[in-house]
Amino acid sequence: MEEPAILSFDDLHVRYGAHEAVKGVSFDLARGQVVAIVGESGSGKSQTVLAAMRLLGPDALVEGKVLFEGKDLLRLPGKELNAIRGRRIAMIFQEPMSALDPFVPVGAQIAAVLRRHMDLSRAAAKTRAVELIDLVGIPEPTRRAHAYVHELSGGQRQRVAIAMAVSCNPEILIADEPTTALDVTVEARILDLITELKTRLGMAMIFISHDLGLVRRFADQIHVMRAGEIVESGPAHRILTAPEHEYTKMLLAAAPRAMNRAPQKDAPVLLEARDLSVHFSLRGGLFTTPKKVKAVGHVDVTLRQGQTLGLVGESGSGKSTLGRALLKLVPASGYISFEDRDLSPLNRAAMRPLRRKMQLVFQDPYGSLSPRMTIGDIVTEGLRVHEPHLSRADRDTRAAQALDEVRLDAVLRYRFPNELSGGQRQRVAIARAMILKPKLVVLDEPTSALDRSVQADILDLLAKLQSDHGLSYVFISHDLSVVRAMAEEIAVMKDGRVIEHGETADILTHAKDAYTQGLIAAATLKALQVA
Amino acid sequence: MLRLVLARTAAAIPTLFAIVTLAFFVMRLAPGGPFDSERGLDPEIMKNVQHAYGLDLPLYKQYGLYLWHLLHGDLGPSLHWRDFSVNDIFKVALPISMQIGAEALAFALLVGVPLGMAAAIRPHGIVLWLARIVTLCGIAVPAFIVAPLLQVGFGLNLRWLPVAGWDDGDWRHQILPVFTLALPQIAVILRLTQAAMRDTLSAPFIRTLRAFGLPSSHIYLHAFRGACLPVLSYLGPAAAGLLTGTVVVETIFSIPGLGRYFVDGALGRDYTIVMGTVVTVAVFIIVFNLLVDLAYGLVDPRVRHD
Repeated sequence: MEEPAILSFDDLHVRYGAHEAVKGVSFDLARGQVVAIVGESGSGKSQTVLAAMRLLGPDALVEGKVLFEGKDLLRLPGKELNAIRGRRIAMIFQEPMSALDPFVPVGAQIAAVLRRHMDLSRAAAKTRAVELIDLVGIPEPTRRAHAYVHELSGGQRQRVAIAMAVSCNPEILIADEPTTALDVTVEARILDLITELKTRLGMAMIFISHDLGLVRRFADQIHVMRAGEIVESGPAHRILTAPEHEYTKMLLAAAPRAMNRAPQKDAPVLLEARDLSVHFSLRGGLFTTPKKVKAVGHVDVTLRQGQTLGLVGESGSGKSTLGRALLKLVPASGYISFEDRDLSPLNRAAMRPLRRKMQLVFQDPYGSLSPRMTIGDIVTEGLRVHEPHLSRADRDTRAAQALDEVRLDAVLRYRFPNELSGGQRQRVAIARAMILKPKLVVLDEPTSALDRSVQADILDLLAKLQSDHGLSYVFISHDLSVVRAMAEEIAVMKDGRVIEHGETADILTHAKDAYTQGLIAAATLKALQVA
Repeated sequence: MLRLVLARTAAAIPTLFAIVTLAFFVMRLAPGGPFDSERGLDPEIMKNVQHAYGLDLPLYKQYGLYLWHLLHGDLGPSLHWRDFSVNDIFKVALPISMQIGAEALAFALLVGVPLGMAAAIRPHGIVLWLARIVTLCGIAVPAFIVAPLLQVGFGLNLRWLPVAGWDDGDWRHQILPVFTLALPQIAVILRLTQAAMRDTLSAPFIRTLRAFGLPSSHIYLHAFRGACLPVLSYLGPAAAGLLTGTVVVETIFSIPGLGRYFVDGALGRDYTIVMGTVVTVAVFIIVFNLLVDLAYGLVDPRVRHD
């Protein structure tokens, strides 16, 4: 592979004032080669490529060289740079909703790029845009060309972005976390599309991801980044099978492993729901009647003490709504019993004493903690309601204990949420639930907003808390690879219904439904078979 | 779209009713009446005059009658300008006010939007200073100070433009009032455009356009499409601001528009003129806000009404 590099990064630095986001990155990209840059959030991987394309804001100070066919992109006059951008080096961004223009039909956006670079007439560009939309596998391309971004699904949006990127047959494609914002089954299909187009058009590619497992299928070369530096580089199979740097090893080990926990059929039933349905009514206008939307339909759930039920499904499948309905946080029809007590007739006041035994941990540790309360106040807020007799000093001691139990330094209780990392915040959210010594905790995507390595720590913590206190979990996630590490039983949800339900091992090996099989395929794609 | 128009029209009726009712009774709470004067009328004559205009009826009857006439599009007789109905007066005065208002709005948009865009695109140098000065003056200096300064400067000292009057809408008479009226609107529109444009230019979709090598002109055009939304939604309040602005400006420049009749009417307790102005302005603002909402749907496909 001694081909001359088509793009080469030479000692690239990016500084924001005193903070150095990228500290001297150098690597080469050969024609037709796929280079993956892998690292966790804040490692500087996106900054590296954005700096190369001169897409950073005016407050970023960029130094070094990025040579494309011997020309330094960082010093090229604007006109020459614009002749390369989109024509010879194209990009795909992470968030397809915000990366595409909301005011212009998608076909016209692709046509604008074609007219800019390919010297096509208005009509020819329009026709070519429809062909491209067809090429990336969007059905009814002629009609879809007139659609606006908000009218497309997440996967279709990213397909449009890909169509735009390949429209001018670029030599290099830079994909910046192109599937992170997508559901897992969609992710797999988008990756297939990208790799297929890459081979067909003979593009070289820089693929940025936080997920080592994801890039293993197609990367020739992997660079692992951490805190603005490349800590390890090498051919993909070598990095994946024989990592040398500690950080790479940690990233590899961070993928959650299946624990194969067997359900205990003799444990007492903690929570039981029969024929549970949730409807939302959309408020009608002045002259329209309100519509009813079924979010969850006729679901049965049984959860035993000390067990975990995994709820799996894509966004919009009703899994979060079901989780809330089980705690009677959204109005639902059907029968729910908790510790052999029928909850259906209880109103809010009657539910309150039970609330401490049923806790909820949310996905977003940034949004779910009040920014104006100290960590200590956040963690003990439930105690003020359920144990009002406690003195301030008592609560402080309990806060320290609770933080200790989630392996956080007890001094953090005097800090505010914005001073904590995402993983620390999620521990705080868990401590807030645990301090009330609950029996049941509904975990709504508790690790989805976190980096892989942090994710593993949180799962580990949750498993330990469960065995220490005999907790029961309802574990909600879109990611089967996470759920199978935690749950004895899995219920797969789609369109508000449970389409498959059984023991984890059974579901994983004998899934009957095509949808479940898709989810499993997506999860295996992520998991690494590392010896 | 038709449904939106119908729904909004239906919703406008209770709004208008509330405004009319409130204005009617608040107006009557003010001491004095339309026929009071320093000398005082002979009680007999006063009684006759009051009777002629129906002012001797119980208040609820007067209110009912006013509503009844209003439903038929009749704003009643003016109590001050005898022998003229309010409809007659408005037929002459309303077009004048609307002309000044429309010109001021157009002028404010023509100055405010480009200047705001320029200040967002090049946030340094002379453009930014100009934007700052215009904004500061427009917001901080009220019309009743700007107008006399202009009159003294351009009318009395330089003698380029007439100090006041209307002269059947001769263009020289329009320049100073329109400028005075537009100045605060320029300031607001400029600020809105600048802020919105700055936000849109840092949006991810603009970065995409850059990443695909599209020229700056194309990028600014597309950014403006997003940036004009806040300006568009301000046009409703702007229209209201212009109408209240005409009250001051028409009085200072002695222009026979709606605003001046409103001031004279309020001072002279000309109930029907004041009520007529309130109803007209309310209708105008409701209609203008509806138009703005419809235009919003045209620009932003996400809120398109179908």
